[in-house]
Amino acid sequence: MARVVLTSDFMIARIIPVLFAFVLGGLALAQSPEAFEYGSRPPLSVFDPGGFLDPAVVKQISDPLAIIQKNEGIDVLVIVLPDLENAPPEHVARRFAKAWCSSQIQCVVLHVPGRKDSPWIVPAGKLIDVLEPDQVRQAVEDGQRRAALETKEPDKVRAAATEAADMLRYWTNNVINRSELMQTERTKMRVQLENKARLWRLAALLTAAAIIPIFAGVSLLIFWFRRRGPRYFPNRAWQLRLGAPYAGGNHAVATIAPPQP
Amino acid sequence: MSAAPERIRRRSQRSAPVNVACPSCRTVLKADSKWCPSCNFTGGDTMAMFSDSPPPLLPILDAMGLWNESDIKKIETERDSLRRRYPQFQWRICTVSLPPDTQLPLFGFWLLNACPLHEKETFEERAWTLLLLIDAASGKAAAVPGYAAESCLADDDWQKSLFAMGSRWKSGNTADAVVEFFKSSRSHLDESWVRNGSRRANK
Repeated sequence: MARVVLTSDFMIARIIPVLFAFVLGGLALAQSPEAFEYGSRPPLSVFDPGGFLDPAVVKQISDPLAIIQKNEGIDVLVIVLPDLENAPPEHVARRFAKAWCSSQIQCVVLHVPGRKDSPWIVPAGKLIDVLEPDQVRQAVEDGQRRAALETKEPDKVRAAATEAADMLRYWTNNVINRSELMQTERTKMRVQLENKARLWRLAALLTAAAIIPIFAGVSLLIFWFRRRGPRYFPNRAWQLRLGAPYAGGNHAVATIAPPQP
Repeated sequence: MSAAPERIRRRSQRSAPVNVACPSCRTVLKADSKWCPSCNFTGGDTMAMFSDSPPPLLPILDAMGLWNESDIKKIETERDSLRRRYPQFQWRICTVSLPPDTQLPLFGFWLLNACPLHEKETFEERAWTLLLLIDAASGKAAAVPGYAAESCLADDDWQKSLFAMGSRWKSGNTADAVVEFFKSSRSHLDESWVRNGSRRANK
């Protein structure tokens, strides 16, 4: 009997750690997102695993972007990859944005050395959602075209990063201004509506207060007009007397003055 | 005197509750007396008394020339106001200077009956006429109503209206005296209108 108990305790002691490890592993898998193949975000805003850009250029690009990110919350990420392996540039850029950008105002400048249509500017985040797609597309195309005017590829990357940052700053300010304008307009409209409502209340109150005197006035007016209106005596029959056609001789006489001498 | 058309006499089914008297001797008459049983007066007698051709009975016939244009305007204003209130009544005012032995009521009786109807005047309008006759010589005034008008106001009330003229007339404001007559008449007509059963429309 004692042996059976000892055996069973031993089994439990062996199974519990296995179960525990299994549960912990499951939990860890459930909580962590799918691993990004490029790992976590580097400290700089420029990711150039192939070392295409000179460190000085990397610094020239990343320093202003870091200041903008710090002061204005605009996150511009420059990614330089040797090859996209046939993946669409926008798709690749969005994956980087999703994995590494925490700001709602974000943009990825993706460059593949040697490709003539590079660099690509791919804005993302909630700011883009509130803008007109045509406006975004037009601005991106313009920015890419201006960046492409540079002759050297590092300069193209730097120009594209600057264009992206400026574009986002411009949009951000626009949205803020529009939001403030709308807020102001909303306030104005609310004030106007409140004024109108107050006037209506006042008018209703005055109307209600005026009804009684108006009613009394109208009644008095009707009464007054009726009093001043024509009056008729009943038409009574008469009989001719003394052969007179129009008057029968009834009369009243009064002395109103002494006779003239 | 000519006979009035039958249609006037049949205008209403109601008879006039009014006392009638002989204009000559004041004897009370029956409503359809052809002559006065006391003095045998008939309307035709006045044709002999006043043989002149009667003038048209104008609204204001100021034969004595008492009033200027302003006076007449004043009188017309008050008369028109009274006429708006009592549209049935036709008001005629006449100033005369009669010989001392002339009876003013008989002259008025003659004027009202003998004067021809003017162009637009109807028989009915003449019956609704009140003639205010003023004899400047004797200082007397008479109110002579037509058949229709006499049923609205008793002779006593007309007399009170005549008395109302007195003070103004004596002070020389003869036009104001006539205005007072109209005002007093209006007051008496108002009372009578209420007594007779008020109506706002002429039926």
